[in-house]
Amino acid sequence: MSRVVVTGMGIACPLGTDLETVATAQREGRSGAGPLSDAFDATHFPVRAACRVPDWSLERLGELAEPLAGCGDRKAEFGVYAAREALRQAFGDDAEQEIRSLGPRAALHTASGLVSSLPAEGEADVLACLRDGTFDHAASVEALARDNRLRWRHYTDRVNHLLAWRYGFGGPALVNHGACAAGAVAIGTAARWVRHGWADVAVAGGFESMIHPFGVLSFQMLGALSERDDCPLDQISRPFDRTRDGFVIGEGAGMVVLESEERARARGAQILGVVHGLGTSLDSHRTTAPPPDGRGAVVAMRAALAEAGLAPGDVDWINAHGTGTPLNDSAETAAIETVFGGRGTAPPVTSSKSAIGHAVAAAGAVEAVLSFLALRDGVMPPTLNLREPDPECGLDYVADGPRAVEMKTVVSNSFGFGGVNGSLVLGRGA
Amino acid sequence: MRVAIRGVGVTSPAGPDLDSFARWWREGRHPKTGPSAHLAREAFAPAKTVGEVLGFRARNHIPDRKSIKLMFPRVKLGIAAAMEAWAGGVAGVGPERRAMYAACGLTVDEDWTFREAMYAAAPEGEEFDLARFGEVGQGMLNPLWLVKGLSNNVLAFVARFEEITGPNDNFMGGATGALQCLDAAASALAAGRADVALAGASDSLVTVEDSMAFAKYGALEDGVIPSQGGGFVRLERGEPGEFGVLGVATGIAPVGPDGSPWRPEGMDAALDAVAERAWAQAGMPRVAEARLVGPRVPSEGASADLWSHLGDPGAAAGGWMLAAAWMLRTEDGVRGPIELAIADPNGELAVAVLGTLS
Repeated sequence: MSRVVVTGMGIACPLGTDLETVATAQREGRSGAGPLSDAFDATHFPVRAACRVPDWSLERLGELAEPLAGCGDRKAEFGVYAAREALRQAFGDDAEQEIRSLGPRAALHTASGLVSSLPAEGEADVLACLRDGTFDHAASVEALARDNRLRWRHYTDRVNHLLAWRYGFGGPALVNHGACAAGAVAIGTAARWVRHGWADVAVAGGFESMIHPFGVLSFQMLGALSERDDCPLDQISRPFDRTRDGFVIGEGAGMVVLESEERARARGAQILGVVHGLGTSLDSHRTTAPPPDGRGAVVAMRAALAEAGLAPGDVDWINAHGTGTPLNDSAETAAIETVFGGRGTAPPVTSSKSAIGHAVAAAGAVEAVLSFLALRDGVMPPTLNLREPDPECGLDYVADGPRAVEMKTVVSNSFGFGGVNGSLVLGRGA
Repeated sequence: MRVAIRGVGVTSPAGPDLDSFARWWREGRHPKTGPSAHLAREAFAPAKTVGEVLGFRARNHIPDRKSIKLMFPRVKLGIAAAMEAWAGGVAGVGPERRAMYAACGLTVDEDWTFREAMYAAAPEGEEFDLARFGEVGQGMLNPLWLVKGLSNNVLAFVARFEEITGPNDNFMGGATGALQCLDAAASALAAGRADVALAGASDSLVTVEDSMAFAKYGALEDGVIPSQGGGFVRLERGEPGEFGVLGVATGIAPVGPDGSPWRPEGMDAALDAVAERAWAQAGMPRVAEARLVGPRVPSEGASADLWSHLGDPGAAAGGWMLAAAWMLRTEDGVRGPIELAIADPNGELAVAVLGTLS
């Protein structure tokens, strides 16, 4: 069966918005954390830090900016941008021609979250139609007629629609809503479509931004975000550290172009990576907490390795889910130990979220792109801010800085609320 | 590999289970109701009726009563349908070989505390004010707002109740969601990743916000009935002669840069192209003995009955169509291929071919 390879990548993350800037920052172990108050007036929020995509402006989307103008929907902006960059890298100026010629053989599998951002300008008109549990239908029609986008912007399938309209995708087009596992699952599922011959080319990945008052508030009320105020902002995210107390909210998008190795080689494309396998599972436990033994994660990692046809010993590095919440990191460590063995046997483990925060539904896709860059560069990025080892987290977390080492294979983990788990087995490009 | 449909569960305005649906199917009952008591009647004007699932008592369907308070209506209705489809069919199948694929509509909308917090931050006639939201709105929110609003709640709860720990996915594909799930579940079985899989969707458009969405299209004036419910099927490896999945395909029609019109131009041709792929997968010419089409498009026969009697249940539409196909097979004696075709106004397309496994 044909291998599925990556021929284009696009990224917007707190370390940058082009692959080389991001790769350099990752190699050097930089943090993307900054003040939450840069995003909005956070006076009433106990959370201090956020990992935002730097220097972002809608104009970066070029001709694709207009449909999103006025929507205030950063996640969709990131998604469209990352997909466009991935298509550019894969096909250059011929991207539209290539995709239109494929039509139903060109597929989309994206992933996103649901929580809407702040009301856009003018949306108060719509809110007013609903005030006090009553509904003014005529006023609603009038308000919506002023701007068709007021409702439309809440739909996460919008990125798929814009890409289909702009490039001519006509094949399967799904939006995964698998919480924080969504981005990884989207990439792995699209790879299956290509592997089984259901699509010749697929664009897959995730996009997300919850760095708005409602998004921050929703995690804050669950106690999932760190409210630490005893250190610089870039030291708050500290996965696997004994003093970890929650994650730092992030945002961004990661998209990849997938095609069969034969197709990629036949057209002379550069092979940037390989998607060997995906494993998914359900914890069947609690909505917001994994089982302490990480048994759902064990099932996902083993299923991914089985699909890849690889053994645990073939894995050089693990890019962990590693949120920095007390429960996740110990459960994930237990799961890794079950699958790969303990320290000395299990491969080194990094949490990208120590540098970029938690991009929620996009996390798995962004971290897949980071993983491909790390494999390419032969540098395991470090887990930042791990200074006090947790006795329950006893693996090698690359805490001593970037580590130059040749790698061929990485497992990238993504676990989400609802007990959904997704693990990808990814390989280095040619 | 043959993929059989071995179980069906459905919640609809016809009632809270498959028996109610079958009774409606046989007797042609007309279960439309007036708007729910907790919503203002004005919310649904000019629609005169909405479709609610009458007689639905969550505690009769959901084993963990303490969790019910964490569930919005569309989640409860989905869980009930999924568990009915699942019932009695998984003996000897380990948790890791059990799979589930679910689709659910947007759920955050249903939290009234969220809406009240928004109102508090946007006094009448003024734009939303963040500082005011921080001062007064935050304290009004239900702390479990995010948890209640997770779109994968049906998946998560059913997995917990039925010990499903295998392959899974959660989609948001508008009305096509259930058929997207059918596609993914059949693929999981065919690839040997699971031995039994649930596939389906649930939704509730009996909300004020969804009425707004319809208002955008003038759909309520056109007679669309906001409705709610769920529909799931249980898939297993089948034997020749059983009713099962012959082919499924999904696609997308470009709807343009400014959002979707009610019926994008070119939708029918795009749907035909998807149907060709589904029938090719089935390995037979496109000759359906019966055809069901999704809501909001002109239809006749069983499809017209579905949408005019039971209403438009959003993402659950495909789930009801799967249940209707089961009725065509078990009640009406249809033995030939049945085509299910859905074109969501947002551009998602899906076609399934069901019939006798060879």
